[in-house]
Amino acid sequence: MSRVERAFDRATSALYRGSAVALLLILVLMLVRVVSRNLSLGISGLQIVAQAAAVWLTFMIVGALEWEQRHIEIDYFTDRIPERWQPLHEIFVTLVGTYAAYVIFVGSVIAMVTFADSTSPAVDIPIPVYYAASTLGAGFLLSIYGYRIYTAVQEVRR
Amino acid sequence: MAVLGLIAVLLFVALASVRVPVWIALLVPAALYSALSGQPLLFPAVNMVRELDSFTLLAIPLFIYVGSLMNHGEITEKIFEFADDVVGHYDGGLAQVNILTSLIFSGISGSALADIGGVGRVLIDSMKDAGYDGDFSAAITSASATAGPIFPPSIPLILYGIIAEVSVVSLLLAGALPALLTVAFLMLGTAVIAKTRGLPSNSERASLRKIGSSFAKAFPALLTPVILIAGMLGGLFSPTEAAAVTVFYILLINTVVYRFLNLRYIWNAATETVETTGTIVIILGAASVFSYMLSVEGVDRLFETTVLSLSTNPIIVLILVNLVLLFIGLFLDPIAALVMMTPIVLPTLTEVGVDPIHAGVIMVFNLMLGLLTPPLGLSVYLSADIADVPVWDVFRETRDYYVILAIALLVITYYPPLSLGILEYL
Repeated sequence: MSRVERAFDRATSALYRGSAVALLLILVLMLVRVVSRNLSLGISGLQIVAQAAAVWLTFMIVGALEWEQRHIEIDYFTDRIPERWQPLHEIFVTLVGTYAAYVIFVGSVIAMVTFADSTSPAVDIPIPVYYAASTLGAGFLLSIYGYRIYTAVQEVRR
Repeated sequence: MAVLGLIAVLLFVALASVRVPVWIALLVPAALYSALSGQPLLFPAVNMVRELDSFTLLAIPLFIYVGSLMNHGEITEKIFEFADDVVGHYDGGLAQVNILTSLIFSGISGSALADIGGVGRVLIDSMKDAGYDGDFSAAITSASATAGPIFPPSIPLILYGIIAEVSVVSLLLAGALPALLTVAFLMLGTAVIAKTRGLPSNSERASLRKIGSSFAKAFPALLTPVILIAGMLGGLFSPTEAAAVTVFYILLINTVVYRFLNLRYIWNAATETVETTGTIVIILGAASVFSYMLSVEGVDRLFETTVLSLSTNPIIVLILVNLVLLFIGLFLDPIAALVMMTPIVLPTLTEVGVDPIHAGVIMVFNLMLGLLTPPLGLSVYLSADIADVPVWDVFRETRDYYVILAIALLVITYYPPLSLGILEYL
């Protein structure tokens, strides 16, 4: 395993841990919300924070899942592609993924700038916080795809 | 007008077929459309983030967490032992146990795949040990998990409620009787299969004392759906909060009753949960961008015009819609299909007088059948993997159950009181 791959592995497990923390945060916030409402404690904004945590959870894990190739995909037809075409198929899939990651990454960066002065209702979370999650997730995806394209090109050259 | 939308659908099918991850296959045509139609570059990202920033959506990771906690704990075994004592002596004993256990399990976790990945593992191993074929064990596990997603709590029904903007509580209640009917059909079908194939059963009926003892052990777990539904009906909590309360309740009974709780257990289940959540929720985000594009392109109106030009008779329209959904379910994960198809199909159904709650139960049940059919058939892939048998053998074994489930779908479709009757008493 190369140094780059080890770095991706480390980043992936860090993202898993981050997502799991976000999940536990959502759980705690929702339980506090139930108790708070039924006891009329008047704690507001818990739902907004939980929703932001869910956005972070999703985008943190999306790259990690790609690195481990655990996203839902249909491999029924591609199992029948002749072996010599497999590297080209891999490059095609990677390029399509790169475009998707690019769209989210660039869109998120623009959104961070566009909504720089806006905040969420009730608890005033800056809107860029939401788009920082998608920027991070798509950025990690882009780096994975970049590495895959590099290795695939090396493979084809050999 | 809808031509671009239809091209986008074809592009999605083409990309998904060549193993592009489903969420990317949904996002890319929508992003290309967005670019071609001159929308701002930030549109797809903003649309995805807004979709994911939803209160009701929080129920999904929490219910998946419930499933993972149950899989890591001892609750699964207690439920299995109870089901074995109750129905294990019937023809095809363990196959019947499989069906009942799946219903109880999904009545807590709300997910077919969590059901197979958790309790399915225990069931398949037990069936193989008892002399059942691996293919049959995997097939019945896949089939029995199909009824779960319409029994409350149900992740797909919650999602449908968000998209269709109808009461999630009503939807969850409306799914209960159809799920029970499906389970009855599966058990009857299994009895017939067991007779013709001479499948084994427990040698003797469990005594009342033994049933009472296993019931007492499983009781705290069996109480979960009751607490959940009562809490929602009583206005104590929303479906999302109900999911959090269920997690808390599972942790509580694991501590107090089953004496099985440690931080590693909580953490491992959380890690497993985020993995499953990520695969589902990102599809949802991408599908929202895709379905927005379809709606702008007027694909929903095209669908409505086409279907209603063939017939305005609700019976015929329901047949057509069911056929379209069964076809879509062949290629699309149920969650993605639900997000994509609800805005397209629902206006047509409501136009001919189908209640949106009833439509939700039909759509979710129908799309769940896609979990059993090639080429996607996720339930079959998962259970074949657990049983360690070739996936095609399992698809073949699933055929009988597919017919049974299709009959259940017909009854659910054409007898609305089965879904809606319960709502009249509330």
